[in-house]
Amino acid sequence: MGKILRINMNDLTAKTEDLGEYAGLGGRALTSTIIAKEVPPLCHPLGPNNKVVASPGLLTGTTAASSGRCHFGCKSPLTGGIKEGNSGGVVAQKIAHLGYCAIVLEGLPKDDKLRLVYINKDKVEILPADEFKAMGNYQTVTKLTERYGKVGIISIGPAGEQKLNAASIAVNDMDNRPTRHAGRGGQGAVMGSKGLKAIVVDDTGAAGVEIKDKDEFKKWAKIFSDGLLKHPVTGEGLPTYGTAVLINVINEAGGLPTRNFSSGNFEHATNISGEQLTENCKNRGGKGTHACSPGCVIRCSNVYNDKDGNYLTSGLEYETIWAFGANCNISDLDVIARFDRLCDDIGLDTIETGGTIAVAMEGGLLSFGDWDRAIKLLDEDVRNGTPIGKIIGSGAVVTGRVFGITRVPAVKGQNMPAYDPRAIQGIGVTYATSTMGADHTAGYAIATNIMKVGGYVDPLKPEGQVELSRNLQIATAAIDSYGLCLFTAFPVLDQPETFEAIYRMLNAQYGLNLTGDAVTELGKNVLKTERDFNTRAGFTNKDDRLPEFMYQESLAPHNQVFMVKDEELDEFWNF
Amino acid sequence: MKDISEIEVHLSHRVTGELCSYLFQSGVLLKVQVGASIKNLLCEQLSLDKTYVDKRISTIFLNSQPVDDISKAIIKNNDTLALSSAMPGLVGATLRRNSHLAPLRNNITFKEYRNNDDIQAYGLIHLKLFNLILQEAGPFLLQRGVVTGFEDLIDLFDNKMSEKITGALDIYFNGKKTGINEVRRSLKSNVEQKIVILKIKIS
Repeated sequence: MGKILRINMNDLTAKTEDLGEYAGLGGRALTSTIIAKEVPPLCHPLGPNNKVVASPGLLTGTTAASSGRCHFGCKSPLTGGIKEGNSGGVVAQKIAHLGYCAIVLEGLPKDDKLRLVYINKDKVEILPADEFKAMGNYQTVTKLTERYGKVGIISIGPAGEQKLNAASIAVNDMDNRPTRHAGRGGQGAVMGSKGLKAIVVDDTGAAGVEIKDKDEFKKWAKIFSDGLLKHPVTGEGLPTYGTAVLINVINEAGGLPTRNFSSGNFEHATNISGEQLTENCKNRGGKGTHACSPGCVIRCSNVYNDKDGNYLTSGLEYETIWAFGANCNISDLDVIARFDRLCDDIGLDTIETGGTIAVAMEGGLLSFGDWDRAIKLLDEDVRNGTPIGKIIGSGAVVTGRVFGITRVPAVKGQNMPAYDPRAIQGIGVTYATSTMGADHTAGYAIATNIMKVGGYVDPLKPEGQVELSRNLQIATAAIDSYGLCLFTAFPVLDQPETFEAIYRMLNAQYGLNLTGDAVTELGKNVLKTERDFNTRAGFTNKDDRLPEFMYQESLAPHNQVFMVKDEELDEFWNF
Repeated sequence: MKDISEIEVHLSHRVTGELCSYLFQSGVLLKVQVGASIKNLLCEQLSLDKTYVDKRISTIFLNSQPVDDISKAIIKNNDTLALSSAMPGLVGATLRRNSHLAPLRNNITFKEYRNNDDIQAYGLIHLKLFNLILQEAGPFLLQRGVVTGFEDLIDLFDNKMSEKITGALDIYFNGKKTGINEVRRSLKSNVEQKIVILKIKIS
């Protein structure tokens, strides 16, 4: 790797340049560094100065298992801060095979025409795409595949074209369906503001990724892959049940947000559990285990069919099932699968959208559990851009304001994911302090103690939550920069040789001499870069707080409010 | 509890798995000696392998509180015990027994540890099994017999598992071989008897 492709949507030109000062960066490290350096923090997210960066990770395109994440970054229209979101699918490896570390979308078009970008090893073309206007992601991918064959496709749906805050960026999966999304933060709206419907990446005949020491890389890639396969979470639990396996467990812990975060228990949780999902997949000819990107050995995705055995959706995840299930008081998996399909097609973040529907339910626009009305809200109103559709598509905070609702579970403008921080207070620290807004992937489980990544934390110390959250966020930022699936963190947590394999593979690929400390340093630098951008965008420590109601309303069954003090939250950034 | 009716259903391995899924996710009642530790309950009373308990059942809740030390957490009458394998995600890892991330859920962690068992008379506890534990330990426990509510069982036979149960190889009601319709009739005519022992034989 070693090139950046810049596409200017203002003068409709494309140019390739060397990495230069960005050398050594990939994935989140690269997207966030480019955004922090090149985007004025006070710019309008939908204006001419914002950029969208797409970047594979440092290991993407190699044979490293589960390394096919594609990272996207911009200034978020939802939060007003920096944003990184990543996705599975087939496109990251194709970008890497073509030799690009990043594709940077710049400027605004001079007209209201829709365009697409086609990239192969010989050329970059910016082409008219008005025939795709208002088209859903499914049809877009089908038509582009008819035209270009087996390619990687990054696309937006009608929500992105409407520049809605909850709009996602879609990536096609290995079955050529637009089911993998960089969902959070409204990145699809920024792509839409640039009049770009899709990026088609064709790596036919591409040189591929250079490996300096192939034997050494092969050795450590095998150790890494073996580590994933032998671990009970990545080798067995996730492939068997997918992420939805968490429904029952988080519900049992009293942390499954229910009916817009008014309870931590959903009485119908077993109807929407991972166990039920797996049975439905099995009995209907779907797939209970499915890889979200080439080379993924964890295979935690799924293909979900309806009762007649017809394809309904793919990648039905824990967060989505929660967002439209417990949070909206809907206990029918088939209905939830329809929501997932709709969001994939319209190009919406399922977490933000499910959270917004729940806020609208609380506001009286519809009743809790009224899935029929909720389906229409998405399929008719958001898809077609009616006034109420634009409100819903603008996210939970906007919708809460419109309906006068105080219980809006958001931080920095972004709706919380599927863990109530009053039950699991440590996740609240991450929600509060993350540069991304409320984000469950910001601080992930990596070997903070075992590997001493980020320093040792006394597990018996009750006030250790800030320190743990900090270490986790540092480690997550590093993992995100390598293009690895975050679920690789589990074997890394438990198996020292799996952790070692990460930097050994990097050393073999790039001819480096990294140690485990490099992981920590990279993560710290990414967080500080992102924090600096947010500070310049006007964020202060007062934005590192949970919404007021979480300090006041206790959550059943543990009857807890959020208790971490502001002063403790403020200590997060002391590193 | 000797007057409680007992139903024994002979099922295939696959249908047993589905029945386990229905029963154990919501929870069944188990007659156990209360006052014992969770470890005693699982390893001694339920005869689960110690290594399996230590390595596989890595996430345990007692009345919705994550437990770290199962040898010092005592089971009381009417408690709810939930067993799960290792879970993904930051929160999943946080909830694991003895997780180094345990401080992240300190406010809900089980803390009423006692050093000694104080085994008392028999009582009923509510047992839930999830994910891999459900698959692996569920059939074993179902063969030993679990206690279910009448109404739940009627719902199971009439609705949720109707087709599968109807296809059962054999059904015994209080030791007497009978048919599914007779079992349904008996259950519905004895609604004052709130619970029934359900046993499975895998054929």
